[in-house]
Amino acid sequence: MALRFSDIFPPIVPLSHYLLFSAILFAIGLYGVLARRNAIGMLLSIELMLNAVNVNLAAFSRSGLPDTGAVPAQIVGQLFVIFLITVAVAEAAVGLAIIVAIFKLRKTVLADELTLLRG
Amino acid sequence: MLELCAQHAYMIAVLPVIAFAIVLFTGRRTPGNGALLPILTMGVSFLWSVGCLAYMLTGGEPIRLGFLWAVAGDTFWLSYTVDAASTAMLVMVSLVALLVIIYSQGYMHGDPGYSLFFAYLSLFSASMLGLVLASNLILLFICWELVGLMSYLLIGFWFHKPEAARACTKAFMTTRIGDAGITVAIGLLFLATRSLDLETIFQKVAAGEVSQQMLFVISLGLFAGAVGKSAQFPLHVWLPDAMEGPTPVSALIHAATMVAAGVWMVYRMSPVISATAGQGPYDATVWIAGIGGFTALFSATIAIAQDDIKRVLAYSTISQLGYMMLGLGVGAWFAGFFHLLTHAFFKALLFLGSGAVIIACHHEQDMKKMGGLAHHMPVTFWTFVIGTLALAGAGIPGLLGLSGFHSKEMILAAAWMQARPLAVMALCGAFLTPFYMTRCVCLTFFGKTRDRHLAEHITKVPLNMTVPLVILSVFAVSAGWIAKPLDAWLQRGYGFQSVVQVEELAAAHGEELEAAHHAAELTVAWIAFGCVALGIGLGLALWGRGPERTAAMVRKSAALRALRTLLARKYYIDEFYGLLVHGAIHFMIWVAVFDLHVLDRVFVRGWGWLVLQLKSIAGWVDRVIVDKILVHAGPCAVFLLGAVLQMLQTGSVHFYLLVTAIGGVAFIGISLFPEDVPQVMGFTIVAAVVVAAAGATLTRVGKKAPR
Repeated sequence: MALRFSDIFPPIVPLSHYLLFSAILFAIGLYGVLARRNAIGMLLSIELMLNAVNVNLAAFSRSGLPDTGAVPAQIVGQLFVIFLITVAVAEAAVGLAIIVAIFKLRKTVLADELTLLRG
Repeated sequence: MLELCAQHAYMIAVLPVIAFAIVLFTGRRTPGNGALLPILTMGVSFLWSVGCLAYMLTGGEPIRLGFLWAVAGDTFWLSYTVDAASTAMLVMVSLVALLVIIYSQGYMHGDPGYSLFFAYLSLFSASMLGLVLASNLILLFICWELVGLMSYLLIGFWFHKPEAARACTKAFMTTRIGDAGITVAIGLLFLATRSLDLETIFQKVAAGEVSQQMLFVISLGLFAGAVGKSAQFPLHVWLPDAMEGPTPVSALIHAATMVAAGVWMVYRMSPVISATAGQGPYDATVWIAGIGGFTALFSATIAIAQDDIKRVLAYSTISQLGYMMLGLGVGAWFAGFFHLLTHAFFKALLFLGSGAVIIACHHEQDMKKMGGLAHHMPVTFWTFVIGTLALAGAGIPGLLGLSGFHSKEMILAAAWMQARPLAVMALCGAFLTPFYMTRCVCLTFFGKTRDRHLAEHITKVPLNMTVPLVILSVFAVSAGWIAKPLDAWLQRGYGFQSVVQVEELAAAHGEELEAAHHAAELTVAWIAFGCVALGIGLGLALWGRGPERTAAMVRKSAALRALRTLLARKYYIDEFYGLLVHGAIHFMIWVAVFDLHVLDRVFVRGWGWLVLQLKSIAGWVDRVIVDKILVHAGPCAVFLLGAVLQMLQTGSVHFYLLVTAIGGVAFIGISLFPEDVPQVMGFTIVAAVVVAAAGATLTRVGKKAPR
């Protein structure tokens, strides 16, 4: 009955490659968040970090867990990715809305000029 | 080889999606200005469909496979099926889509959205192919909605025209009303059977696990979806307006994709719907047959008075879809389905022919200005006549007939046996169909060109537009000849063998028909033959020598004039719906006013007054007890703490993020070295102090920096 995705496209790339790739992606994102002055750039870097997590989840769900023939192991991680993407979209929407609002108020989106919360 | 082909049948739908993605993003840089890739992939899809058909014809077992989609309580599959009905449908859809895409090269030549148009066509066909393949309500619904979305985008392809923008919105909103029905039906089916897989559903329905009332509601919901998609009577208003889209789109919508989806879905769900047959008040098939029969006659009358060549064809489509629904409703499942197949060929032919006429006349669609085009475009003329005869159902009973003759005859015979009044309506429709189509042919092709300006500027139609016409006309003539073998084959190879009901029903009909069938079939066939001959004859008599004399006749008689206005305005149904919506809006305005003036005054302001009174009491407590005594003790402590914590509060986002990152490092450190927690904490505290110092510096820099 069931034709699995992995029957057509067997996993060739080993898991560690995915993990290394996702770690690098995460580090790039972290650097971007800490180093960018532009708030939009920071938001983009956060998306990078989120997607690094997505890659991890998808990679683990694909080959990380033993395939016992039962259904869930293969699919749970991918479901999480879908939820994460949804969350990321919402986050980006809220973040951009805030940035637009800040820009209207302060005429700048440079994070180090926005020090309103200084004690 | 053939089996492999059938197992991977999902590629038939996936290939055009790939073409869509590539052409959408690369556009004009792909060969043929974006047209070649969709043509090639659709060609491969067509060959693939033929492969699946060959697999079924060589005696292959029906295949049902699927991809796992999600696990949420139950497991959900995106599964597809290759069986007799779906392969026959696949071949038809991919062939018509292929020809339409080839034809579009000529029609859309020089359009600014040229490559985008081909991308859309690709996805449109792909979603219909997916809909045909689906053996699961999730996939079916996804493709169902995709078909709706793509028709929205394609009808509104020339969205800079306000009519087109309005038409596509109307199409989308109208079909949405029907889709509400199908959504409810799918939900109820899941509730009743705990499954969205068609075979499981059919098994449970056949086993009698679903109550009759439930089946009735589900069937009506499914049919409501089909009413929206296939433009049946109350929701038919979007289809004629959809003529604002480019003509190839009309051809695709009317023949293979959008409107076929509704009929196909009802056919696919026949085991569920036919379970309600003969259940007294819970008989959904009566509704299907009634609405189908009524629509068949109703829209045929409107088609008589339309002057736009494409609108005539649009109303004839609605009418033919009515025949299909009538066939499905009276239990002649095969007849309805077969009429869908044959109709696809001759309606695509007619639309592509009308597109050629429109191109030749520089996008003029008004038949009153045309005429005499037969000499200028003989290929288009003859193929259009073939399409007209096929649509009219021309043929001599027991001897020879075009494709429409065979399929329509089956529907009429079944209706004659099951529901005599509906059969009479359908026969009236069978008289009107050749009548208005003859008018259309006469006004377009006969006599002399009435518009002087147009007559001087008729252009030649390119070859890639006429070749599809010729191919389609071959099918329009011959598709009906396979009726008998196809019927037998479909009954054997319907994918869901667990369902005995369909076959039992067919067998019961078979016995019943055996005795009375031949007599009834012949009677009906000869009556229909008379209707067709009368329709063509009357049409030729009235319009054969140009429309002037008939127009004068209509002008003289007040009754005829009133009738013409009534038909030309489509029984004022659009206006009626407009009033309905206006009424609803006015009601909502009234509710809003009520809310503003009554509810707000009484509840909001009254409540406010009450709170004000309470406030004055609370205010006294606040002033005397809280302000005087409690206020002064707290701030002293808070001030001292604040002075320390202020140093951390730099206001710099980067500082905060750095702290977060260090916290993350500490967390990872602790989880990596659970034995050395003190060392890790020490390291973190040192780091935090460094960061605090850095933060203090940053604060000062921030103070000095200019804004």
